[in-house]
Amino acid sequence: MKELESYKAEILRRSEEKIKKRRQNRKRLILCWILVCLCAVIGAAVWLSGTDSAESEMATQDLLPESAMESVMASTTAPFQSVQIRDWTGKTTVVEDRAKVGKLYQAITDRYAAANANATENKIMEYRFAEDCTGAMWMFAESVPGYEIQFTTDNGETRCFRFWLDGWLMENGDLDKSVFLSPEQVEELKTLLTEG
Amino acid sequence: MDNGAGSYRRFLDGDESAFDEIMEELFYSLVFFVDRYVQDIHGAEDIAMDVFSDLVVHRHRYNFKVKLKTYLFMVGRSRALDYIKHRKKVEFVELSQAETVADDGKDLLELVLADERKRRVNEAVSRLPRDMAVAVHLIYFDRLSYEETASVMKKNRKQVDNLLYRAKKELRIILGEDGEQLL
Repeated sequence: MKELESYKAEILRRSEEKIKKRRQNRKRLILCWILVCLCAVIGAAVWLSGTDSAESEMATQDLLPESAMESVMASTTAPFQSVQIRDWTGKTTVVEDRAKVGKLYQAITDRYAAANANATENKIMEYRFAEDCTGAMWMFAESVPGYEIQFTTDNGETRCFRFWLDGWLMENGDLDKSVFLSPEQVEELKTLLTEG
Repeated sequence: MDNGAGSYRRFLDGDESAFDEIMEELFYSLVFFVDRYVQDIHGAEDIAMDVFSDLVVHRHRYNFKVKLKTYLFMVGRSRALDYIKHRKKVEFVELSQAETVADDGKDLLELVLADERKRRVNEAVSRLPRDMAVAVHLIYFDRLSYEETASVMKKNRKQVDNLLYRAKKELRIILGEDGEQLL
């Protein structure tokens, strides 16, 4: 057995070691807490910015008619050479007079602009098949009569619109690019198409 | 004497010498008590030193509701049980060192058990099952009350009573008729 003094010295040495270890652990704990808080703050910021962007996306969707018009207008890259019009009976007409083609194109884009001036967001378009101009799904088999209008540029690019006599005008089967026309506008467009 | 609580209070107030008093009063009996569990004098010393260093580091864990001795023995018991659980293999001691270890054990007995009568009882107690041995140890050698013994052993008073009753019966058999007077 050792002397009590040597036990005491060993006890004090161990105590110091334990105190040092405890301080280190406390520092680590504080660091961990800081990290956790940082993560929470960053997480909250990311979440909040996500909410903001979702809100702004919703706000953009509220302006859908305008954006529909813009996208239709913006995608006009080259003058059109011809237009092929097919009606709900399957009758197809091809117009190659550039002036007439331009006029019809202008009329359609005007309809977009005019429709956007009116409030169209309350109209809900029923689901209709309208893939693209070469697509197999021919929407005129549906109960609503209408036209498929396909413009072609000099370098072979095409743009396709669908126009239903109940008032819907849509580009390329894309619901985001659809507008609802007034009965007068429908009549005007129908006349242009049949004249073609 | 209040079994160290007063000294510990003075130690907490900054009187370093009070710690020496606690050491003098309780250290060896703690080693002796822990040795009853671990059956290894060096392990018992190590545990006792650890318990005392905790007393220095965690100054407010002891709440003065029980005697300091009872508190230290409670902590010592739980450390001893941990030690036994983690002692996976028996450590072999070189023959040359074995004598030193045995001598250390004898030294401790001489320090703690000053008279022959107690030493004989201790020998007999060592042959008892552990719980009985611990109960007799705390009551007989450390002079703890039944309640304090129950707190240290994490048992109730009735269980301690039963252990002591059975321990006495066993001790009578071990010590024989002569030993009857020792108890």
